[in-house]
Amino acid sequence: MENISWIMEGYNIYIWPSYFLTLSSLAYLLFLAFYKLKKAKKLLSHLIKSNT
Amino acid sequence: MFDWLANPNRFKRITNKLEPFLIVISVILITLGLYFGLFDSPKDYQQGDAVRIMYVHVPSAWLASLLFLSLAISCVFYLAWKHPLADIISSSIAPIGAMFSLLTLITGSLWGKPMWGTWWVWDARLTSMLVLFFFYLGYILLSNAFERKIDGSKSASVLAIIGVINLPIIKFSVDWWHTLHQPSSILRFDGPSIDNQMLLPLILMITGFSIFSLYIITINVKTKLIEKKCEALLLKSNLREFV
Repeated sequence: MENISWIMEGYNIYIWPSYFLTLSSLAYLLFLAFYKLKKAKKLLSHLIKSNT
Repeated sequence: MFDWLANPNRFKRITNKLEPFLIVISVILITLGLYFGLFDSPKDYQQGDAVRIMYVHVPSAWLASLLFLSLAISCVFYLAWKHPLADIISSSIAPIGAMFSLLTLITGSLWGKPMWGTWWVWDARLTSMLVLFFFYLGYILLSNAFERKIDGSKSASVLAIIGVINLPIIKFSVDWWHTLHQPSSILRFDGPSIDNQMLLPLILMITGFSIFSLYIITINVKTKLIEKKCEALLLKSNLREFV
């Protein structure tokens, strides 16, 4: 394992935001996908109930 | 194969079984990629630690291009066979691809500033990636711009197919023009030119991001299939009221 410091030779102000942005975007995609799926399922069950 | 998968119920059955594997494998691969990329890969002899931005920048760029190719293929299926599932798949891919192309531009800027001394240059590689982002935006806007959904889907599909021209431009821009961006170091005729210790996290991250995207696409497709069902039910109840 390399001896890595959080400072990363002063490049930390570029490296950490890159990782943070990428990982938070992936998390946002996941959250949005599940939120929309849940919303659609709720609407479908409501429509099925009101149709019967 | 497409016809066989194009049955919505069969598609749901298969993806329900696949989904848990997709998310678990992608999380494992991305975690390993992050560990190796941040803590176990060597510094670059010229760029030092700044090279670690590569492990998020390159996978995002690959995914942006790969997803656009998948989007265009799906659009060809839609225009040629008019299958609604192809349109649903395309519209599920587009926002994910747009997100990856935006991430490529932002992480590229964050890498460019310490290495080139500037956030942005109108270089062939950067500009063609920006054009790809605009093609994604154009696809999303066009598909929602018409009153009749089918008109929007057709116009957006044509735009996506035209946009494929941009993919070889992105790939070969660093060879065709004199650019600030470094030349290809993985997909080369004489094999990858980067060290195996750097190649490993890069491959882990690219594979992890790809499987993660596939997972999100299957969820988005499932959501859109449910929405279609809701539209049909709404139409049915409206017709009943009308009669």
